[in-house]
Amino acid sequence: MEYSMIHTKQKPPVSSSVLGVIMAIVVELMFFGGLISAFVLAQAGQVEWPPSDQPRLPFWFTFGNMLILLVSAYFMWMAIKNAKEGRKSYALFITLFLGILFFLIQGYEWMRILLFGMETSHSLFTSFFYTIIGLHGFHVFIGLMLLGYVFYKIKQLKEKDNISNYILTVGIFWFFVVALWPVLYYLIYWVR
Amino acid sequence: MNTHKKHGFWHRYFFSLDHKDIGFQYMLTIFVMVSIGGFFAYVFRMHLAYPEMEVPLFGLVTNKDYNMLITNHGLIMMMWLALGMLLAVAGNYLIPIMIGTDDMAFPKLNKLSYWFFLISVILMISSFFMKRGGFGGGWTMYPPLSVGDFGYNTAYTSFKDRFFTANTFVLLAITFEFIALLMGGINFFVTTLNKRAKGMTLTKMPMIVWMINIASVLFMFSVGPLIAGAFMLLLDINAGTGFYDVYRGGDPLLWEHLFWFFGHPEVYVILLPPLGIIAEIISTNSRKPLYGYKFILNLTLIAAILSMMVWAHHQFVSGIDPRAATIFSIFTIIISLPFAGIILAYIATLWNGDLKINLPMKWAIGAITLFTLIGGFTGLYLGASVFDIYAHDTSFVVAHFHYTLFPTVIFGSFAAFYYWFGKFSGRELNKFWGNVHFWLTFIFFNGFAFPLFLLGLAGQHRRIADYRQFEFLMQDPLPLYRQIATISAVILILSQFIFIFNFFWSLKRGKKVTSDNPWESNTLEWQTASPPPHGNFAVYPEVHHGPYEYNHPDREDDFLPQNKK
Ligand code: HEM
Ligand SMILES: [Cu+2]
Repeated sequence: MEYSMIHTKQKPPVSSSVLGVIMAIVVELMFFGGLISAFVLAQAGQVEWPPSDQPRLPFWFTFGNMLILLVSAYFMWMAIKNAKEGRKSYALFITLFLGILFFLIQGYEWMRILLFGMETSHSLFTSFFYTIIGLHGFHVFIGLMLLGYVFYKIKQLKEKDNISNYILTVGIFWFFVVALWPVLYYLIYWVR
Repeated sequence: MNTHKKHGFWHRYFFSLDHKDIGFQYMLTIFVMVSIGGFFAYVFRMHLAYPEMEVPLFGLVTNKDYNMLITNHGLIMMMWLALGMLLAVAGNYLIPIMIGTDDMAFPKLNKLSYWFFLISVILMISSFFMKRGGFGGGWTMYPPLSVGDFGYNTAYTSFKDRFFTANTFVLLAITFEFIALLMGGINFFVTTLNKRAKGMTLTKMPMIVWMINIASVLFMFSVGPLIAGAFMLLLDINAGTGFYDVYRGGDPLLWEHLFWFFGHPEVYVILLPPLGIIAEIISTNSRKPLYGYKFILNLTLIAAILSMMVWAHHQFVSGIDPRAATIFSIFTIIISLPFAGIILAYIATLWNGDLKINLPMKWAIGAITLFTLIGGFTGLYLGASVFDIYAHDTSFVVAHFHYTLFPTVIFGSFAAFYYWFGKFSGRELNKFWGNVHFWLTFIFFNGFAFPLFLLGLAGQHRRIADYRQFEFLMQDPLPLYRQIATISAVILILSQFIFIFNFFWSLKRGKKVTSDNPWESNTLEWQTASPPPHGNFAVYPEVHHGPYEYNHPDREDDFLPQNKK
């Protein structure tokens, strides 16, 4: 149903769910755009950044974690391609697995930083760190839930087009989550 | 086709997936919100004119009460009435049926959107009853006021103390509401692109469908930064961050930018749907094609883009670089050009038309008149920073935005109610009481809002609970103006009861409509039964014409429905 322009059975050029997720990403981009510009402006107004009494962020460790996320995007792309050609593959499962791995490692890192005594209320820097990274983490979490749902859902579907549409929809969202991370990494971990 | 079954109460008001039912749920919920907002307005207006009086139904108004009342009045009217009525209600009722389809692209998402809206309403109403009282930081929620009574001093308060405050609840309510409207907006957009009837090309869509969609997309582009800002404010209140705390390197101005980056586009999100409603009504009732369909569309798109570049005109006195102020002034003045163009196109539509001055038409013409001549015009003055530095935060601004918002939101919604009521309920609103309602509203709206210009120019600052402390503001005739404004406002509010009774009485007892197309209109909703069945059409229409082909020279009838060969 979702596919057809009603009663003409003509396929719209872009499926409804893909259009929907693209619009959602527009909102997300503006949302993170707001956060990032707030961060950049706040940073520009400080003499010393990050403040010298803060614990250093784990630069290389997170860099490694970023690679995991980027690789997951590659498998997402494979999954989309395979689904389009009607081939079964493990690509979606691998994406999900790598995503969970990223999420867990990120969570572990947070715990370590917290135990180190870096609190949200310490400074503007820590406030932004927890807010922006936390919100990205939240989006990874949503992405994982969606991936899990699609992974479970496509098992019940027969039609090739339908399966491929589900995977494409979730894939676009996942690409967004992945593409955002290097930007945040650059701004928060790298610039100093 | 779907069979038409009778459903129970819970289905109709809670679980139904039909776009018309969801529109109706939104509408009733918004009626509740407006009643609260209107009641608040009555109380603080009474207090302003008669400061020593115990306001009937409320009692003595303290300064704290006053802040709470104006804040929540503003928030409810801007966020729940204006956005809710013009995006959610209008979009749900009109889009699927006017593009000739059965329902939204994602009916379940639509349902979820209403539930989120309901949660937001519940959060908002419960915020009035917090231990430390309702939220009083102004509808624009500038920190540090909006951080709450505790300010940034977190030392002696527990998380529970800070979480269960009106500030937290209002911010959560707004977040939920915006998520609801975003789900709705995505649905409108996708439905419009993917579910149009056969032959309904983009430029054959009625103007209102375009306007709601442009408004929704503009909303999507502008709301992100505000949600980010609100989230940061929420953390400032509850998690000890200091984004807006000057002592920790934060900046309260950041909020103003994030808020107005959304806030100014929001006023166009609010303006566009009524412009669409008015387009439908004046074209049909002057029996002429809408003048310059594509011209209007292009101007609207230009205005939508420009509207994201003017926000700092709200911050001319907040410590802005004068060079930046000049740029924002110029953009602000430029943005009135596309709107002037649109209004001119409307006047050209009316020009030499065979005008049918019925109720919807009265509201529509009333709306454009007041909006253009007074609301938009005074906006131009405010947009010039030299004038605004004097007028900012006086009653002049309050008058300006009431002259922009009231004609669009209230007159526009009433135009729509009187126009489409028969279609969606199958019964007619009483015309006599409709006329009484219109004239009372028209006269007493002016009686209420116009004196505010004079008061503002005399230097009356807004958001002051009691003017007795300023001698120059108690000199004649200023107290008289205040009383005229208050008495008019009270009559204005009372006259709305006429509408409410008319609405609910007609819904149950009104005369059954005699024709499915009483205004002899071309658009698709008039080419099906009243009320439309579940699924909207018995036979799905195929579109052959544009929406405004009135008085076609080769035809005998003066109208040509979109689905007629
Ligand atoms: C020609 C178009 C318009 C121009 C040039 C304009 C300009 C302005 C300016 C410069 C201000 C700031 C005044 C101040 O705070 O000192 C203002 C305030 C305001 N305008 Fe407009 N405006 C226009 C149309 C509208 C429309 C269409 C609406 C709503 C439908 C609207 C709603 C408001 C509101 C709500 C405020 C007050 C916000 C507040 O401080 O609480 N305006 N306008
Ligand atoms: Cu503005």
